[in-house]
Amino acid sequence: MTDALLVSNLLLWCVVIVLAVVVLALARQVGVLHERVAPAGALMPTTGPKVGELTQPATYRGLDGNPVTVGGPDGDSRATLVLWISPTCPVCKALVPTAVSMARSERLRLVFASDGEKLAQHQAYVGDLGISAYPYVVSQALGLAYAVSKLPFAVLVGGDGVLRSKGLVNTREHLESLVESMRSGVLSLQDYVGITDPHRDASLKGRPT
Amino acid sequence: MIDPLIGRAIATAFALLWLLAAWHKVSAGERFVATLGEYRLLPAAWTRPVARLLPLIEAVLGLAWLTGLATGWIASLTAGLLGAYALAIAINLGRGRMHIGCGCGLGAASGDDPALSWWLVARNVALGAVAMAAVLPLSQRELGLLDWLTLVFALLACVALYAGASQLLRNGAAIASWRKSRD
Repeated sequence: MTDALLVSNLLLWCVVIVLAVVVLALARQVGVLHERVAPAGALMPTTGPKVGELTQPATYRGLDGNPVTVGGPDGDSRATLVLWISPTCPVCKALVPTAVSMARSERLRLVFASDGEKLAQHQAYVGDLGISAYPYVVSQALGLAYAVSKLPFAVLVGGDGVLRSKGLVNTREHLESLVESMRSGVLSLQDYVGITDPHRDASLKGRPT
Repeated sequence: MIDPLIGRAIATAFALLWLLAAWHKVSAGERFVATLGEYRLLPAAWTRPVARLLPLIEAVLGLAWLTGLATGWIASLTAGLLGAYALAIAINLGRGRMHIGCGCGLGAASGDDPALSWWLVARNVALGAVAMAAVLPLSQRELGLLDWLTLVFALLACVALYAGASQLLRNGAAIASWRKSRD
């Protein structure tokens, strides 16, 4: 009798551990699936202006009440960098000083954009980051115009009003690559590889970059 | 009165919990400093020293659980620290800052910490209650080979279930943010 209980107990322990591991594995798989599936619907906007297209000028109201124009040819023929940030996005906060220093060194016109109803929250955020010197637009329309789906997102409009580059910018390097792309006229790293190596270009034809 | 095996299981499990938590905070290094800063509970000048001190306290608590001495004190300190974490999380949930990481993972720093949620508060309160159970007087009984086997199995099951629960919290947070961005 005792032996039977002993064996059954050990067996049950094994089953409990196997079950716990299976539950863990299932939870991991759900997590991985979520990571893979979510961006497919959100990351690649098919709408919105394409790189190389002329953008339409549109005027929005800044947080300080002044009108802010985004798109179209600039009077001083300076390029405009629009960076979408949000108080609820921790990565954005880290990117702001980078964007500010880059705008200074590259002589870009820097515009911050966000959306959401709580204006007081945005005002506190601007004060927190010390970016009150730059226009800050709270507008869903601006985000929709450039098909912004995930933050932090940036677009670079050339002084002539042509959209030079756009994309999700998670790091300093991403942000710098936008300016690099405008300067060199190369759309992406994939394009650059294609230019320097004609054989690669042939093999890459038809592939999304 | 609780069985000595249960007391031993609780002590070993908490030793494991604190040591792994301390390791996580040390290996996440700068990220933990940033996470603690995001909680916005301490003056900025204190953030770094406290971020260095917390893993030290956790490691000492972990080793103390292993010694089996002064269980009453150690259990109270464990429940107190878990309670303090729960309070810190609850305050930030109250402020609506639910997007920040909890900084509460275990083991080597890989991947993200789950974002704050009331589940984390519930988890800490439940863990604190289990720690306090170790204060109950133990009945006298010699532990045999079978008991040690049970202890090992129970710990393995606890580790797997804890990891599974953490993963579910992470999934929950991801799904919640997905839902929010769709609305």
